[in-house]
Amino acid sequence: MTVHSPSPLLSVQGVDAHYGSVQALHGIDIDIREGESFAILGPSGSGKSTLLRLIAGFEPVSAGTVTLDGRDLAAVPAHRRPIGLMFQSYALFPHMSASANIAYGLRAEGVSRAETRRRTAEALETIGLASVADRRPARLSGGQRQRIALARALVKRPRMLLLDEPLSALDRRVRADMQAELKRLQHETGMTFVIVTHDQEEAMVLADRIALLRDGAIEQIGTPTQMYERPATAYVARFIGTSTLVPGVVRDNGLEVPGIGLVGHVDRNGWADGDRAALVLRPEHVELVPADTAAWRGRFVSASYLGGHVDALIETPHGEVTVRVPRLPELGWGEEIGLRITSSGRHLVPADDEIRTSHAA
Amino acid sequence: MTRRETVTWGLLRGTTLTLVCVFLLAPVAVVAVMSLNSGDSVLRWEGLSLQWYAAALSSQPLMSSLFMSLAVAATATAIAGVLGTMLAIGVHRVARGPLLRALALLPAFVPDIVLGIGTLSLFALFAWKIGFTSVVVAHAAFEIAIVAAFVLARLGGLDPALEEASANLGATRLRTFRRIVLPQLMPSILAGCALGFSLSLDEFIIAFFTTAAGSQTLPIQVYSMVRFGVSPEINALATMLLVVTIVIILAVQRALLPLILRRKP
Repeated sequence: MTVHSPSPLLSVQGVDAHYGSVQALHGIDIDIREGESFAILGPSGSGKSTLLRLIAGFEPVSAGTVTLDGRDLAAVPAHRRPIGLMFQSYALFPHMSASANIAYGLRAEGVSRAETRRRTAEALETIGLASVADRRPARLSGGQRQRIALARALVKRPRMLLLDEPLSALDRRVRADMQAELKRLQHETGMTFVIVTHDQEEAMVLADRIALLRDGAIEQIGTPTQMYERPATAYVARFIGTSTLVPGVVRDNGLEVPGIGLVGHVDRNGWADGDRAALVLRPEHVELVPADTAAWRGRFVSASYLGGHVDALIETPHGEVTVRVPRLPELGWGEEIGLRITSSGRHLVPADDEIRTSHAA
Repeated sequence: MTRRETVTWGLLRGTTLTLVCVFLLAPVAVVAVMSLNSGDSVLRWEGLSLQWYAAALSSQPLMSSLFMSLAVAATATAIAGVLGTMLAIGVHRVARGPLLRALALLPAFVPDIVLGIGTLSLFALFAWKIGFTSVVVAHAAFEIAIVAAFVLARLGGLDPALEEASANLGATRLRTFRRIVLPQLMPSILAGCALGFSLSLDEFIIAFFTTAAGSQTLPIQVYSMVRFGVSPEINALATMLLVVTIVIILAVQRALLPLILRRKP
């Protein structure tokens, strides 16, 4: 549940960041609310790591402001910011035991020895690792290391917690556990989480809201549902989930697609006749129909059985389309099949260069 | 492999090992054995005795030069431990290319004679007196490079995120250095110091140029004594130094190697 406070906990306004002559961030505006789980998503080189480092205080902002609880952080050095950070590598101190790692931040803060001991023991108890308190990081498993890193950051009761690619270093099994644990923790403590990740799935699962970064600028901010169902741009549609973008021209109450005809009932809000746009087709927006009943036809390429459903890949003149079907289609390789767009998939994005070139090719 | 081949290989290996050991250890063994000789010849065995140990320990020139060497090595090593570590950290933070690194490690590779003459000229230039200080300065110069080389290698393997993690947890830069950086560099610093100390202890060429009559180090003193024939008391002293060296090596291996190895993430 998201708590709506009148003013945001963390506010990033008009932030630019330069590395030498390279501009890593352009005019970033993000407001993060108290208690929210917020994901900063983007491919490598999109500036998401720079943004994280800048919030943590490891890099200076070139322009704009970062405020926490309304206080400008520009003059606050990293070690005085009440912001926890769980590093991607966990960055546990290798020469210290698990408990000494957790105690480190409390001692640095000037908490008394007795109080440090008490809170460290309590933190170890909470994460269920009291039995390995005296072990050094080298003798802990990946999942244990991550829990220690998490406890080390949270024991200081920061105002918010930054998580750098929190699940990427874990294998698949531990990942699912950790994901559930992070969600539970976030709900129980009401801690504000800011997750930095390149993995859209991680962002979709863990975050209440996502900011997608591209080349140092924000492409879109929204809830996972908004990002998936109503992407603002073709880039967002491609980055989040599986999609096929079918380009055409806006006309009447639909999109005129060469080779398919008029796809009706699209959400025309904000579009004028003659605009070049692309229809965002998710796997569940398309169904397979007999070839002779459809205007849009393609050839069957492959099918992936995914347990509850099957994703069939169909090669069409408009690109490869992934179609979600309930069971394996009885189709041979290269067999012709018809596609029909269901009424749920009628969202348009502006056509970009990539769509035109890929379509022309 | 057949049984016969195994035997042949075993013999070959055994022979090689024995030859290598003899070649490496024979001179040392001769010194050690002859130090226990009761006669005053260094070539002819005349019976078992500890008299040369007594003679060495009561020899004023040998003992004073031994203490001189120990004092020089200890002082130079202490200086090198601090400055070498600082140099390594500075180079690690600043250096982008290999040039600065090479420059920092140069004193360890410069021929001793150059370092010796250089220090002598420097002291002559400022009209400072040659003696304890000049040997210490010259020895510290190459020891700094040795310590820096060890520490630089360690710094390259440190996760830079550790310092950031420390800052993120509220530690000042000083606290981060003392609690996070220094403990991880310590095995390398100590290893560099141990090597520097042992090199300084038996260093001859630089000391030859930079010591005065009253401040001779042990190698210089021994050299001046053997010019008129090897005296058995030198054998005794050499054997004692050998034992001390072996103890230091064992201590380093026992205490430091596990420390270094354990740090593998």
